[in-house]
Amino acid sequence: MKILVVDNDKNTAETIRLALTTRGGYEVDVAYGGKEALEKMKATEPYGLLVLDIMMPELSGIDVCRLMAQDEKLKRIPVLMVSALPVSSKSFRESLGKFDELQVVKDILEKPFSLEDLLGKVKAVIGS
Amino acid sequence: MTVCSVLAILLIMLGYRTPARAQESGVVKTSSEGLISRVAPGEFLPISVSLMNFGGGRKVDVVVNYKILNSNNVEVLKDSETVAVETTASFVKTIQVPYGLPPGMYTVVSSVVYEGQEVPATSQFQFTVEEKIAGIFVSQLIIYGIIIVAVGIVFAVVSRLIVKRRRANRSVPHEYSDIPAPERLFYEIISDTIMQMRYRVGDRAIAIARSVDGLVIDEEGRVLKINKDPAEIAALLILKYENSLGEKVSFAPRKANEEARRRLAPVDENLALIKKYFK
Repeated sequence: MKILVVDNDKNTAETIRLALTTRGGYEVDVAYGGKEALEKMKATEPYGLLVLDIMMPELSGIDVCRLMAQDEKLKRIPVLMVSALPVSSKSFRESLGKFDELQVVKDILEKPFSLEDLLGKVKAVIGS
Repeated sequence: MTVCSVLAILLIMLGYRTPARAQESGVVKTSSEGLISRVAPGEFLPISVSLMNFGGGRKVDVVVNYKILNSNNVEVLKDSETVAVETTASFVKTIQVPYGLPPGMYTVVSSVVYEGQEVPATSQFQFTVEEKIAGIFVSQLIIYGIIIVAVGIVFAVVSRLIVKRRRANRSVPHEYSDIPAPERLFYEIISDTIMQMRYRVGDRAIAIARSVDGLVIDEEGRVLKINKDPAEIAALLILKYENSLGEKVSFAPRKANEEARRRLAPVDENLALIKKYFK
């Protein structure tokens, strides 16, 4: 099972990568932007999970979701949305059911989060 | 024994603030000094009385009459007592001021009657009758009220001046000339946003800004470091202010030119995204 971590903040991306490889035993790729993430997803075998940040320059996490939803192959990849934005708020949870582009989002994780939370969510999304 | 054989001095003191007043007539001398100058209806008026007999050491009986007159010289109260005087006699006489006595200036007139004859000399003092509220004279209450209001006004003015001064200090933009030009724009934008909010809500704005992950500021709101994408930090800061304070937050570059607009476009994009999915 290969996971793609997408975050423009290198420290955050590296922390998540380390946690997933060393503590979760997953194989992990990292992309530092939405455009790079789409290229990687199209170039390789389908990832089992996308850990995706929202606010990124040029192509945001939501833009990535929109493009994934339009692609037959990519829309099957589940997304764990990770953000410093209030993704656990009621308004965003309502948005998840309201906007088609967010249908690929299977779970959310609000920053800052513990590694246990991250591993638990990853395991749950992959398992589902 | 005649009136002239006795020399008596009647000293009546009434109200410590009332100026002493003395009258002389024949062999009787009177003088007075007040103990209190103001009483409420129903209270006791203390009168300090001193009688002196200069009649050769023989004990004599003297009748002391007390009258209270209103400002129209109409008698409102009368009292008297007999005092045996050998050489001197000093005592405090108390007269209860009648309940229902209207407020105003009153005069206590004291006179000595010796062997059926009233000595023409009298001693008199003025005092004031005034209502009390909660044990405090009305005039004092008014004075206290005026003092409290005056102190309150001074306090409010000083507080306002202090607040204005502090706000004025807060509204001085921080300088970031030591920061490289590409990053300086975001330092200024974030710093000015914090300053704007601090001006509006006080130091709460600092606490909120400090809760933004990746943003390091000092206690004056000066941006020390931005550890993440500045466009993300700026958008997060604005969102936190709007959510926490319920106030609309605006931002603008100090120098509004094409370059600044281009560099700030990601902030606008992030805010548009927030507006669409988080509101």
